Amino acid sequence: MSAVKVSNLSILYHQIPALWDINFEVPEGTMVAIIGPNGAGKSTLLKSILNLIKVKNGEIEIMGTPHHKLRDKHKYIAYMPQRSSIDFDFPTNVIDVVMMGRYGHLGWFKRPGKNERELAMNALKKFGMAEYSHRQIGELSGGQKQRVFLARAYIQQADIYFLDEPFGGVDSKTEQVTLDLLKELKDNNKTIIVVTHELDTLKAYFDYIMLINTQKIAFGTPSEVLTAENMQAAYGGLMHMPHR
Amino acid sequence: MNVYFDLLLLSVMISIVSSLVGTFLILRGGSLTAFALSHSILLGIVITFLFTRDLNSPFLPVGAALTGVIIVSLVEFLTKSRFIKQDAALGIIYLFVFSLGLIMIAKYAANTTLSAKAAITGNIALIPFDRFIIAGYDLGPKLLWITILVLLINIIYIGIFYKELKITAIDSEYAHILGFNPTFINLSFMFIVSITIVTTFSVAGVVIAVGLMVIPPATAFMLTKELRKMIALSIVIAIISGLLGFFIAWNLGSVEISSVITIVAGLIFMIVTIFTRSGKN
Repeated sequence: MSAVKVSNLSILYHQIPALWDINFEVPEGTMVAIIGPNGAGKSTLLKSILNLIKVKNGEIEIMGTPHHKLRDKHKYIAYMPQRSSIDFDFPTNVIDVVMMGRYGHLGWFKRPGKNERELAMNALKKFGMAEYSHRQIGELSGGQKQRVFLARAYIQQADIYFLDEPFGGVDSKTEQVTLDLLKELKDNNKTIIVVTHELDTLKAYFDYIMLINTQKIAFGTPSEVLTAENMQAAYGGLMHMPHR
Repeated sequence: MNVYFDLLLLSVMISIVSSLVGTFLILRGGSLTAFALSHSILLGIVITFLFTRDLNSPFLPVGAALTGVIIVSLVEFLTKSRFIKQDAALGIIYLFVFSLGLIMIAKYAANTTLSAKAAITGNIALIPFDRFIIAGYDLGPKLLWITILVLLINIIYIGIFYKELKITAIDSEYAHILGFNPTFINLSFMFIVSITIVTTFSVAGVVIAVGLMVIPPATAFMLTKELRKMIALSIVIAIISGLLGFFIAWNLGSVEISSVITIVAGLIFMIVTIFTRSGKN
């Protein structure tokens, strides 16, 4: 069974396509990167899969079920958002934010308790953030914020992990922690889908790469996708081939 | 019957009930939404009055609250379709429905206590005379009991949905993925804000009702980075504003108690702003 299956997906904003006729399947237990230039529709694709954007044209299945019919979504989908989508002024601290990773398991009405606090604290230790557990979330650096959201996704213990731009402008420690987590998740046979700009680190880690620029340019193993021809098609003359 | 004590208690209770929902209102970025709500509620009162023909009908507050929620939801629907920007839409709609409400009052409710002036400033002076009497016992002004009831409803709502209110405000996309429908929380919260404004409306009018809601929590927001403390502080500030505002208004011989409460709350806000800003530099 595919973890994620996207069929004939098109998304239009004011009659202008943001995504056009996208088809691909992510096998369970693999690690996939979605890459492409700015404005290529990478985040739109991710949000369509997550059902955060209404899909009118095309179908999306998660673990064999249409994504809008998926029950207990928190068991299947863990998500690390781009940092910009969060209200960092909200009067709440780091550990409370991490505990949100268990909200889905708690369901409506039930409040997080000792068990959730313990899980959150352990995750914070794992990502080197234990000493910040009582900081207000807005008081952290960009990399620290990302580690908080990694911890939150981690304690969700879902089947498929979605990460939006985890390598965009973070410190080297955060980058290392992120890579370590990806490896660990992969060893545990989780499926991982990452939207990223960072072409250089790609080859070593990913099983498949989805290269898009509104349309699908190529989908396959890194050596199949990262050809001069494909990169030219996606980026035009703007970017060079990644090294390594 | 003791008018002084009744008005004092009412001033404090109205301030408390407003600031409690106000905390979540400003954290959800909903101050302008509250303005649109309060102005829509006026229209809702007039429309429901056309059906009931009775200003004391229990359907009046419900009809008014629902009208507010429906109009604001329509605005949100329009802005989601990217037809128009949200602040512009809210700004236009609240003036539109308010004008419509005022015209309808003049046309259809001319012989009642509902007037343009009462809609704008409220009419606290009349309230102590509308008593809640059971089996001959005078239990105080009716509105005081309604306020207590609404406060209880608000406490229960916030108690039940505390975690959901938090996650949908901090990260609504993540809430959606976890299966907490932000639309449900938005709508139900708007209804809570709506019934609160309907309650404070008769005392404070459409503008001041929102002021009582927004100013104490905005002050508390500057003083703490913890939600529980923010709620507690905003209630304390509301009580201080309610008490001081009442005493000043009473001694000035003014009946616009709610306006004075708002001025006191505003002054506290300014003082706190100056102190917290100068502390940071």
